[in-house]
Order: sequence, then C-alpha cells, then structure tokens
Amino acid sequence: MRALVVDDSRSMRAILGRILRQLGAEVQEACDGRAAIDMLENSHLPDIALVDWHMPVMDGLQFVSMVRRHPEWRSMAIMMVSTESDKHHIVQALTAGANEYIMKPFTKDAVSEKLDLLGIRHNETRDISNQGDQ
Amino acid sequence: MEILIPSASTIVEITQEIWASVLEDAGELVAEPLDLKHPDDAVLAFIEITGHWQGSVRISSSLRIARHIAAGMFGKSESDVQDDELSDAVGEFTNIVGGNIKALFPAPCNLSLPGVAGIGTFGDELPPGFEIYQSERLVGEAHLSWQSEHLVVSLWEAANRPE
Repeated sequence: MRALVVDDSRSMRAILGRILRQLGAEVQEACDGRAAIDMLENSHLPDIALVDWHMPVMDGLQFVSMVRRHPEWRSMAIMMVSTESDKHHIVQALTAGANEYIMKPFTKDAVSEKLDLLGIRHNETRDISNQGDQ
Repeated sequence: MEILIPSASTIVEITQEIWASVLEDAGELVAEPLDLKHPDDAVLAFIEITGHWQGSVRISSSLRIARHIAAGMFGKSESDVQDDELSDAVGEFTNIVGGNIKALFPAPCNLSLPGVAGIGTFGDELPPGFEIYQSERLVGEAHLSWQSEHLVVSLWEAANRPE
C-alpha cells in the first residue's frame, strides 16, 4: 500500500505516518494541497491520500476537487481527516469526491477499519475484506 | 436560538479523550479545581470559531506539558523536541480540541487555523498579534494537570467581532 498524507501540521503527519507504516504502508507527505498535487504529477500514484481539511495555500476540499477532475488520478482513494464533524462538511467532502471521512482524534483501529471499507489491503486487513479473494 | 455553552466537565472529557488518543505514552491528565493557578511559563494557543456561535478556544499549558504533547505526537523524547515541533504540536492539539468543542454548537460553524503565541507569562494580557481576541469574555473553563503540570482549556465568546 502506498499512502500520501496531506496535512499542514507536521505533528499530525507524524501521527498518521506512524499509524500507516505500522499498517505496512509506504508513506509520502505533503504540507498542503498544492504540494500534494505537485507530488502526484511527479511520482507514482498512491493507493490512498489522507487529506486534512483546513490547510493554507490549497485546502483539502480544493485538493479533492482538483484530483477528481484529473482522469489519471481517479483510481486513488481519498480519505478526509478532519476536525470538521457536522453533516454539512461531511456531505460537502463526499460530494467533491472523497471516498471516506474520519474525525480527529482517531485511533489506529479506526484508520484500519476505514482502509478495510475502501478495500485497501494492509497488515491488519480483516478476514471479512478477504472474502472473494482467491 | 438558545446556544448552550459546554460545561467544564464536558471540556475536561473532550480534552482527556484527545490527550489519550493522540499522544504516545500519554499518562493521566486529571481534572483539577477551577482555582488552579495559570502556568507561569505558559504556551498559549488559540483557535477561532465562527458561525452560529462566535468566539475562541484557548489552551494555556506549562512548557513541560507542551513538550510532553509534542513528544507524544512526534513519537520522540521530550528532550529531543525542537521549538518549531512544540509550536506545531500544541497548535494541532488545540485544533483538535477546538474542533470537538465546535461540534457541540449548532451548525454551521467554522474553525480557523490555530495560532500559537510564543512562550511567556501572559496573565490576563494577550500576546502581540492576538489583540483581536481582547473583546471576548470568558464563558467556560477547564483546569487539568499531568504530573503536577497545568493545562487550562478556556472558551471565550466574541462580543461584536468585526468581519
């Protein structure tokens, strides 16, 4: 699994990066949406981007919209990682093209479950997500 | 619409949950009486809420707690924490606490990016650059401690803040 963590907070990137590495991911980091777009243009497409909402330069919602307009990036799953918990914000993110939404604070188990829901295999993928695999 | 201000016990619960969730080797953050003295060597962080309720969430912590938060978030020892990491971690901690408090107000409400003032003894005065918050009034407060070090989470309501 390759994951891209997009957050302006270095500490949050450290937390998410640590969890994702424990789940077996190869992790790249970007400090805002613009930097993440630059990374997508210049490196292998990750399986998933975990994206903060509030960031300077380009926020998470703008990033999601831009990624979803790019045909070659459509296969990348996007999980919003945010303190925004009201329905309006969640609907806005999903409408823009995010596949999943997780609230801060989160646990490793919560991240793992969301990856399972997205069908992204990792070190702790549960048996139920293996059903159908041959 | 009547807006209920979160109680001190609710603010304590939110802060304790976030403390335990985001910090490695967090240790116990315990609720303290409201007459706790504010830390002398405080690190002060702010985040603004706008919308149906307008005001700010402020976190004032001792330098030791701020170092512990940064160490726990970055997964390193307190002695290895750099000043920029301390500021980033306290800002993100405030962002998460502020976001979870904001969720208790009626939507829509929005959250600003967090701001972290330098280390100092602020007392009742706000540090330079944070004067916009001067007109706010205190409406809620929770005092907590970890290893006898103090952390105060307070909720301030805006009067008529200019747009």
